[in-house]
Amino acid sequence: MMELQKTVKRFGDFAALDGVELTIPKGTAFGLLGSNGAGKSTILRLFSGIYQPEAGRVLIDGEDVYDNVAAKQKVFFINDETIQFSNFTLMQLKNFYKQFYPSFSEEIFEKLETAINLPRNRRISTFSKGMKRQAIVITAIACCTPYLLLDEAFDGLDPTMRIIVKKMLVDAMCERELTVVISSHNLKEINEMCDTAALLHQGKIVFHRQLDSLKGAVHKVQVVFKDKEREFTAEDFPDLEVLHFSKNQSIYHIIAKGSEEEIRHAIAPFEPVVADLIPLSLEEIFIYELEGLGYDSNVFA
Amino acid sequence: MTATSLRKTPPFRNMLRTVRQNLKMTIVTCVLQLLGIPLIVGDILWQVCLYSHLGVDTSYMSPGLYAVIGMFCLSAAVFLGMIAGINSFTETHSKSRVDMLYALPLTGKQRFFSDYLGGLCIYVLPYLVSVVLGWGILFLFGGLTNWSAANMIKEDITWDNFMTPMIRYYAYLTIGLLVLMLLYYTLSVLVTCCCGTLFESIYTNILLNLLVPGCLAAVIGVLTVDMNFYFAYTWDIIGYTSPIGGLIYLILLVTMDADTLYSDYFSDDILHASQAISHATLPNFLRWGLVILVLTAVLLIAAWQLYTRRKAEQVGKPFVWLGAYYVMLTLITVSILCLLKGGVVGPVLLFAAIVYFVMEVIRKRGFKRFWLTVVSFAATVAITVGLYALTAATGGFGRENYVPAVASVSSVEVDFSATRRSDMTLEFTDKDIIRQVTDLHKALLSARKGKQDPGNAMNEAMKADNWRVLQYTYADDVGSLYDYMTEDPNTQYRYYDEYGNETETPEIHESTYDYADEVEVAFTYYTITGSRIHREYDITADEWQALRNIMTGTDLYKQAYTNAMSALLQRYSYSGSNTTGKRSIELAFTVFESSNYNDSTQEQTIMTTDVDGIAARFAEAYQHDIADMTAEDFRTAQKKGYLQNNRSYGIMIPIYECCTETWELLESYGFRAFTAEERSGLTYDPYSNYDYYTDQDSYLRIRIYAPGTYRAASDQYPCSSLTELYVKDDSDSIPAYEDSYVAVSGSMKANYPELEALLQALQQSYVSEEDCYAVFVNGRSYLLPADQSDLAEAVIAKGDRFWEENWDKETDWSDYLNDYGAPDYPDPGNEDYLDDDYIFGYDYYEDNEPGTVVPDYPVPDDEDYYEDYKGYAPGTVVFGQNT
Repeated sequence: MMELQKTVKRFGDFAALDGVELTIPKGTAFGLLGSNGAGKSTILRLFSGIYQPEAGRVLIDGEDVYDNVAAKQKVFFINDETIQFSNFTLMQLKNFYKQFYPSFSEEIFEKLETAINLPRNRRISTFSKGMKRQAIVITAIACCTPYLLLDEAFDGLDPTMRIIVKKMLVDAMCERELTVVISSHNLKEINEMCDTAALLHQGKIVFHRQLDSLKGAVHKVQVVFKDKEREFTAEDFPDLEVLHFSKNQSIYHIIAKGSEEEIRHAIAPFEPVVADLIPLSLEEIFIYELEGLGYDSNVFA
Repeated sequence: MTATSLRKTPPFRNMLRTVRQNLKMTIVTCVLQLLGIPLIVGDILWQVCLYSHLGVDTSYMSPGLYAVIGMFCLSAAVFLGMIAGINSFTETHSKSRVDMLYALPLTGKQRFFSDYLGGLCIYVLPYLVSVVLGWGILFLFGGLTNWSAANMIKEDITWDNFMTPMIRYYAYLTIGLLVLMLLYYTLSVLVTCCCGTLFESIYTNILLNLLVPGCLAAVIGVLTVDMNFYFAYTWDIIGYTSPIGGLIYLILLVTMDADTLYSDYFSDDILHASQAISHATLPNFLRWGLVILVLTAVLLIAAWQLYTRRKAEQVGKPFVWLGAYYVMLTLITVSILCLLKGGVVGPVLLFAAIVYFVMEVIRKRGFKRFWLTVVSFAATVAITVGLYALTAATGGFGRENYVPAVASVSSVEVDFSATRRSDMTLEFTDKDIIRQVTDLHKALLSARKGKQDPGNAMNEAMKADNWRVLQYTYADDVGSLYDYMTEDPNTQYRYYDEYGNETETPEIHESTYDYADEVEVAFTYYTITGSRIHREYDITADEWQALRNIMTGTDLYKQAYTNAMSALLQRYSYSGSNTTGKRSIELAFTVFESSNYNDSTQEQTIMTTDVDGIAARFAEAYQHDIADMTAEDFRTAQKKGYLQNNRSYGIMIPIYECCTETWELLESYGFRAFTAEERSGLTYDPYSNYDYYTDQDSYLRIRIYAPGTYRAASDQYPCSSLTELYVKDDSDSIPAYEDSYVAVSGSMKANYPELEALLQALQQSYVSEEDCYAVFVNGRSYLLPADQSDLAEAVIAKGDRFWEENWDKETDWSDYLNDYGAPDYPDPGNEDYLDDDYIFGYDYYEDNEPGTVVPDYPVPDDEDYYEDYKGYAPGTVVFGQNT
């Protein structure tokens, strides 16, 4: 289990994480969502022992990670760059990480490497961006650490290769209860890969829940009320947590948290003539949640 | 932990990662190192063995060039230590490497030390291999060469005087360089740990390496320039605190050792005797090496702590730890502020401010909180100037006037001029002598208090006592004189134009300071706690005499000469015959050694198979001869001459009249007492001083000073030729007689009996309470006992008579005017001295009246030109008068 306990991480005057509490159970595929600078990569670097928190604790299986060899051997972190591996060949990269991770599996590496068929003895600097990603991902999976942290890990992969890599990860999760934490702006990938996600904004967690429940928890409502003379506002629905409220002619567009039942129950007293409830995609949830926090894409409209 | 299990540990693997990561640099370092030392050692030994053993002329093989290439390679490889330090810690300045390396399952400590050792392997291992190769070459050549004297074609290169020191210096230099490489590399790692970008790492490394020794040198120079002693530890401090300073210190250490060795074997110009344990190169080297290693350890610990405390996210900041930056900034600023000592305040402050502000702007990448920069600059200036003022006001916090207590001194080493040609180093443990030395030291300090320019203590001390003091003349043990002028305008050299007008402002003669430096003493106290206190001073005649009074009566003084006697015979022996195995000892017995090189010398060669035995007999005899001599005896004893080696002007061992045992030995090897003419140096040409020789005639240059006009500077010995330091008052210093052209090619007895009688009576070593004639013969000083003054007066009278008799010959005597306006007498001893051919140039002056002074310069060979100043008479003197 990975935990952040009231974790604070500052970069000078800027608080990247401000007392964050987060728990990621073992075997979870966890997605980190958030605006730019929200603290996603910071969380990954804290879990991989690169950063030391200013306050609070960062734990892996109950142990502090920073400067702890045993804890760090359980984590493999792939960041969003590959330039640091440029001077390696694939085999050198394998041998390098093999030295540090006792659980490294030659068998898995061979299997994955054969599957994607990368040049073994060419320098990684000569690889394409996607090939570099594949190289580090198969190495990371072969390290067989219980926790794998991916920061924009699918960036640069073509659609086919994305599927292959995702499949590799899913297989590893299935086979050995691998915990994967993915930070990405690509909500589709999170949606496809993860069962749980957290949304970060300005160093704090906006929400943290299972994606399935998240998807049914926010709805877009298109409603026409019987009393067309009246101007309804969000305040007219105190039982709903309204993320967005607008009107186009006589049709009201409402984005609100809550189940379908709860929403229908809330609007029923105002005698809706038409009421269509549509579940939101993760991307829509992301946008409307952040809009609710003032992170509005319409500022340039 | 076994080697195998060690190799499996993550830190070891990270170390290998560091090595592999720097593979290119490793290869370059290996190539450079493997060329460096082997080329240097090989080149030297190759030449020596070929030249000495086989007699092969190596000049066509570009000797030394391979060693130069080797030096270049070694220097480049050593310089790469900085790159090794920076490259081994890429995570400190590369953001992409931070994630990769910090995420590895290593603690910060493991990562630091594995990176450190990885870089060290790249840097040092090739060096160690090259050192081993160097040893191999050393012993290969040394072993293949037959070093026995009989096989040496060039006999002066032997195992003892070449290979033994070569092995020693090789060990010193290679071990010393290794220690310095560790310091240099560790400093580079420390700086790298303080910086967050590659640019800052490189320039901070370069600047700190240059600034630490540079700033220390500047600060020490500024702080001690006004002290009344020379600060002898500048290189100690610099050498103990920085890689570059350490390298210079190491080279100086070995050079001084070689110099001592060279002096001992070949020049032998330092007399040395010691009661104490040797303070030779090895203890200094070990102390220095230990200090450097401790400093390296301190830097390493600092680097480790800073590394483990720095945060991964700080990569990219110019300086993660500002300490390195502020050290650098302060060093630069203080170095510039040292220029304030030159009295140029405005431009120096402006320059310092510009540098300070520019560096701050670069660091801050802008002008954020610039007022803080201004305040910190002002504080730096104030603190620097304040510290300087405080140091100057307190005499270096009391160090200037510090003399250690006798009880705290385990031994004192005194370096002084035993003679002008021979420095002496005596080291005493005797508490009475130590007390006398500390008392003298205190007296020196007391005499220098409040002096304007204590750096030139001799001038100042004398001026303070008597502003009339005009000229010093420093004479060595055998009477050579070295004149120099003081700052007093009355005695400065003057220059005249063709009309006799003064053309230039009189200037201080440069040699004022050159020769002032030669009269100096150095005290080195070795305390019971192991520390060393060293002071050097210029000293006055009386101070020098007081020092000699302490030194000359001591057993060590005698031992130093006895040692020198032994060394003279042992070390200057050469292989004489390959068949008999005999060696030759080439000795010279000399009188009147002087700067003119017009000595009278006898040379003898002793062929023997028992060099050591003969050396021991001479040493024993000399020891017996001087055993009972007191300080006063050494001062006044007459000398038969000096024993020295005939191949060089090394140390001279005085053979006194009382040295009967030594003289018997010398006589048994063919030496004899010098005749009067030999003692006068008559067989040599006095013009040799001017670099040309006449083969036909020999000349004497004579100056006679009337009693009281030329006396010793010392109040204690006002009329002694032995005090070796003279004060000459300008108004009384015109010689009573001066002649530079006394021809003695014929019989001096026949032509100039008065002069011969005078020469026979002159005393080289003479102490008298009475004023007496001072006579200089070919630049060497003698005193004429007062009761024989008539001999000098006879010579003067003969010169006077010459002028009186020949005055009406309407002769141009201009060439015979000396610098003082008095005539240089034509040589009455020359049988042709009245011939027209001998006197030249009179045609131009035939209309002048007797007594007209004509300018002391060549007359142009032009009638019209002559007419222009024919009537010009810049002054008149009556020829023949002596004042």
